[in-house]
Amino acid sequence: MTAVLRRTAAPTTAHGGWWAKTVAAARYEYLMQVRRPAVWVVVLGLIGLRCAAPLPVDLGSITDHDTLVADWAGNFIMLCPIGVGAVLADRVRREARLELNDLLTSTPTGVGPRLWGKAIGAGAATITPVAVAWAGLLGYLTAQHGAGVIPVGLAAFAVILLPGLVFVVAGSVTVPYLTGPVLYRIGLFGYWFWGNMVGPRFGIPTPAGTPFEANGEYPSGVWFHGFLFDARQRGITPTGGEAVLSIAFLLLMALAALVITQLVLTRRSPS
Amino acid sequence: MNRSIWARLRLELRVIGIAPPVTALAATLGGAILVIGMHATGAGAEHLDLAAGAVLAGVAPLGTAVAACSVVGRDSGAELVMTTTVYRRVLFLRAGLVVVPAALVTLLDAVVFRALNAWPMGQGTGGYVLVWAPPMLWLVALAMLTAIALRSPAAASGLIGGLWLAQDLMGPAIRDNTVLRAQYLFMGVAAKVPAHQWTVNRIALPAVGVVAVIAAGLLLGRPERFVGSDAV
Repeated sequence: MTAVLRRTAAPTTAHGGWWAKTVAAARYEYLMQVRRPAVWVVVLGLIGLRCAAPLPVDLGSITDHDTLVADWAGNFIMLCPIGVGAVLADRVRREARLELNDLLTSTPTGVGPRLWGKAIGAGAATITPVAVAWAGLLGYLTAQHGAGVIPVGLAAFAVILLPGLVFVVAGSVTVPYLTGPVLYRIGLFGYWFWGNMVGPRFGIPTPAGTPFEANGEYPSGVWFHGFLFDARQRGITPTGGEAVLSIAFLLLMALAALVITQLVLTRRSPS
Repeated sequence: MNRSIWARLRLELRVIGIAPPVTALAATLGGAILVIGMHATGAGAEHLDLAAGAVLAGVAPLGTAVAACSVVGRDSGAELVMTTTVYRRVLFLRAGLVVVPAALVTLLDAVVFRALNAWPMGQGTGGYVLVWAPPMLWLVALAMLTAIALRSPAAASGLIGGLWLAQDLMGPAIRDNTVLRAQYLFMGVAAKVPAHQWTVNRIALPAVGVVAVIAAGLLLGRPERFVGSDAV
């Protein structure tokens, strides 16, 4: 009791600014999510499944660092985003399921910091296994090809893997408010397959092979000379501007999803 | 069926919520609407056959499996349920509430597709069931087993979705391997499959499914694993 009475400074979340509240929420969301065994099992399992299966490009014959790293990134991003989305989707209604909404609404944190904290914290936690696996791969490639692989690998992670993952994270912490996690997961699997894997040869309208796909094919092809699957089928040789457009599209869509969700939740909130 | 069974089914449906059965139905019905729409707009025969095969062997089984495994871990007071009944029976009944309607609608899809002449190449009358039922049983059983073993429908959904996508992406490599070929989900819609390979595959998929159901049942012999845990 004495300790409580002596306390002069309120917790950061009580009087801190928007950013301080968001950081606090993100920290808790990160720690909750990164400790879930499911996150590690699913994300590493899918990366392992893809890497254990026959690869579309013979990576053993590639000596150029850029191409090598880009084609490995292409393998990483083939399956793991659906794992990232699947294990994030149930975070959205967690508070409601545990009947904590009233309690959280009574705190001064607000809807915005909670939503952005969830996106940043839980999203970063779910991407953590991808980063760990990527670091492991870079260690392996460094042993084989020298330390020159490391800066290329870091750049490839930032521009090939990360934008698509951020896009999936934003969708996974917003869309399930509307659909629920079960329907969202099926929709995500369908979208990832249709939007990134079903090339133009199938005669179905799809973003695959355009700058609006989410698998980083454009940055990979333009900046790292990675293999172009669907863009080549469309007869497209991507330019630097299209690669920038591809990344910007994913990040802006992620931003839009979060901003719209925040507006809707704020309007619905009783406080 | 007597009134107590109906009451029990209604109770379990209330516990799992309307979302899982509706989601399973949405996957198979949505696919059917797509194929019927393609037929109505005069899509080519080749694309129609492809789409019908994708709905029956791909979308409907995956949607049903993801929806079915979401019934795991729904009891906030699991210990109370366990004191009154066998938890294994409860969970399988709930999964059945998701799977049975979806399977019946998928069978109806197959009948409609055949009538529209949108039919996977080389499939006879047996295809009404054999195109979709073996992969559906395989996916549902493995999804349930994973969800029960890890106590996480999220993990089961992610892994099963990844496995499904990997099988589709790496079809030729899987079909070249004798062991993996027997577990290939899309053999019912693959072109130019030798008859003996097709037969082995259609038997092996449900066989593995049954083994997975038995394993899930054995794991549910220790239902206390579900007591007091948030989704992991």
